[in-house]
Parts: sequence; structure tokens; C-alpha cells
Amino acid sequence: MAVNRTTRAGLAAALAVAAAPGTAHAHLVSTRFGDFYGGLLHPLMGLEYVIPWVALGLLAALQGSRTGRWMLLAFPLGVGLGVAACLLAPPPGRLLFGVNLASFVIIGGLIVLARPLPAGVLAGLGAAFGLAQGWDNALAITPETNAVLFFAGVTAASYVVVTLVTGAAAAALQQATWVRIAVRAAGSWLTAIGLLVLGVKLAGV
Amino acid sequence: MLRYAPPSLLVALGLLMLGAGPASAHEQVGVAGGFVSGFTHPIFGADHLIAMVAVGLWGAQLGRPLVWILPITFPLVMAFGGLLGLLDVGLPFVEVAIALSAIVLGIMVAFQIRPPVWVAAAIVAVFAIFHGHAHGQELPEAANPLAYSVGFVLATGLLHLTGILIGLVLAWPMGTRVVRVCGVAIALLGGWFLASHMGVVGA
Repeated sequence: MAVNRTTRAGLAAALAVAAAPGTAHAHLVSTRFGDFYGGLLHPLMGLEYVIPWVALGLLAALQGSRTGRWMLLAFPLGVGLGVAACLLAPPPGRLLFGVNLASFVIIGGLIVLARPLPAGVLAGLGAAFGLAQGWDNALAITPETNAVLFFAGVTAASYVVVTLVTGAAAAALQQATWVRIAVRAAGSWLTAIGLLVLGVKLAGV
Repeated sequence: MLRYAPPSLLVALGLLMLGAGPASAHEQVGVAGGFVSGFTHPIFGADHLIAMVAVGLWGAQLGRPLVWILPITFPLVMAFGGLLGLLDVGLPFVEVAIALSAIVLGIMVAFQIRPPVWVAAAIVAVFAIFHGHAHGQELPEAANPLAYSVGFVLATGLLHLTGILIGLVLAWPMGTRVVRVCGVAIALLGGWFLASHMGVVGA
């Protein structure tokens, strides 16, 4: 099919516009849906949330689809419960920090070992760390925030992240043997990061 | 040169410039600063750098399973050493041990020494404690400790990967010699660092 010069220029212009989207000011704040997106984006903007969420997805993928799928249910459930718990009870302070830091070391260690886990243990880990993560995220809720929308946003983000990572990693693990090695190496990095942060906190640097 | 560009490309470039958003170069200063600081820390220390590349190179030479066991062992134990350093737990002859790590790992590569798996892992683990301890002691007041640690561990892992990638030349007929020469160079550099720490040569 012949395409003339004008059509080519038009197509290129359309592609360029599509490739350079600006900020969409859709008045989300006034429609009150801003708090949903606030909740959705909040965990994605912090390394302390994104890294363990991705790691839980990798751990689930290493367990195979039969066991790993329990993470897709348990983790968002835990996150949702955590956000709800924060609305009902005062934050547990240092305990929360400790659990979130421990998640780096424990999840990383389990990824390095790459041993099969019972479905109940995997789901329990997902729910427990999800609870702590949800609670921590909910600390961003202010009196002006619509807590229900924020709750929905954080919970949706947890489901999307853990599902995408688990699915992508499970597919990659079936493609090549080196992927399993790379995932286990990533687990060692995660544990190392957790230990270093622990050292920084203990030393008060 | 522009006269050789097709009109559609010029239109596209013009529109891209019109659609430019603000460059948020200083968003999350703490995270970005911490990450860059941590990422560059192992790279700017030549004695650390060659030892970490040597770990990957030796792993590549030894093949499976050590090609992945060594790069997994090193960051884990190094972080433990970093913890000791951060907590000011004393460790003797740290700088000497770091220089020795380059010498020993270089010799292993140069002479193609193939110890049992656990011995190779133990050698790397012992040296990793000293490397981690030194990093822990030198840790600056990072703007964001988590971002610093992510950058630091990522750089260490990538240095191991660099060693493994250099080891890919083993697939070529001349590759074995090239890798052994790299081992000799690493051992010599380690010797120079040791001599400079001992005051034998100027740093």
C-alpha cells in the first residue's frame, strides 16, 4: 500500500503526540477519586514498599503456579486488613518498622534458598507482611483523605503489583534456566539490603 | 545534516519539543542522592572493585554451581560484615585483608585452581566480611539509608556480573589465556595495594 508524504508526516506527528503525553488535569480532586489514585500511587513511590512487594511476587513465582497463586489472594487481603487496622488502632511504631525490615531479610533468604514451601506458609507470609505494609501505607491517611478510596487504591495496587510480578516471573522461569539463578541472586541482594539498613538504623548513622 | 532528514522526522521532533514536560531533576533528593552515593561507593574504591570483579571471573572459570554460588555468597556475607562495621565491632587488618583478597582471588584465576565448592565459597565469604566491614565503617550519612543500600548492593552485584561477563571469553580458544592474564593482573594490583598499605610503596 503506497503511503504519500503527507500521510507519513501525519502519522509521525500523531505518534509524536502520543509519545509525549502531558499531565492530565482531570479534576480528580474535585471528583474525590483523587484519594483512590493517591492510595494506588503511594506504595509505588517508596522503595520500602515496592521492593518487598516485587520480592513477594518473585517468591511466589519460585513456588510454581499451584502454590504461588495463594500469594495473589493472601497479600492483597493482608494489605487491605492492614489499612483497615490502621484506621481502627494506633500504629505499632517500631514494631511495624521491624516487621517491614524483617521482610527484606526473610523474603530474600527464602528466594535464595528456593525451597518449596507449603501453600499455607506462603499465604501466611504474604498475609503477615501485607498486613504490616498496609498499616504502614495507611499512615499517610489524613483527616481530609477519603479513607475508603485510599484503602481501595492501596489494595488494588498490591494486587496489581504482586500479580504482574508473579505472572511475569513464572513465565520467565519457564523460558530459561538462568532466570532462576538471576532470581536467587536478587534474593541475596534483598537480604543484603535489609541487613545494611538494619545496621544503619542500629548504628543511628 | 538536517537536509538529509525526512520531513516526517522533523515534524515529529518539533512536536516532541512542543510537548516537553517539566524536568523534575530534584524530586526525591534523598532517594536519588542516597542511591547514587551507594552505587558509586564500591566502584570508586579500586581495591574493592578488582576483588569483586575477580569473584565473578573466578565463578565463571569454575562454572556451575559456583558461577552463581559465589556472587550470591559475597553480598550476603558482605552485608553481615557491613553490619559489624556499622556497629563498630572491631576487625583487625581490614585493609590488608582486602588487598589480600585481590591477590588470592587473582592467583586462583591465574592458576585455574579448582577447590571444592564449600572451600571456594568459604574463601569468598571470609574476604566478603572484610570488604563489608570497610564499607560499613566508611558509610556516609546517607540521605536515605534504604536507597543507599539498594545502590550499594546493586553496584556490588553488577561488578560480579562484569566478572562473569568477562569470563564469557572462555568460550573462545584464546579465552582461557585471556582470563588467566586477567587473574595475573588482579593479583599484581592486589600486591601493589598491599605494598602501599604496608608503606612499602607510595599510595
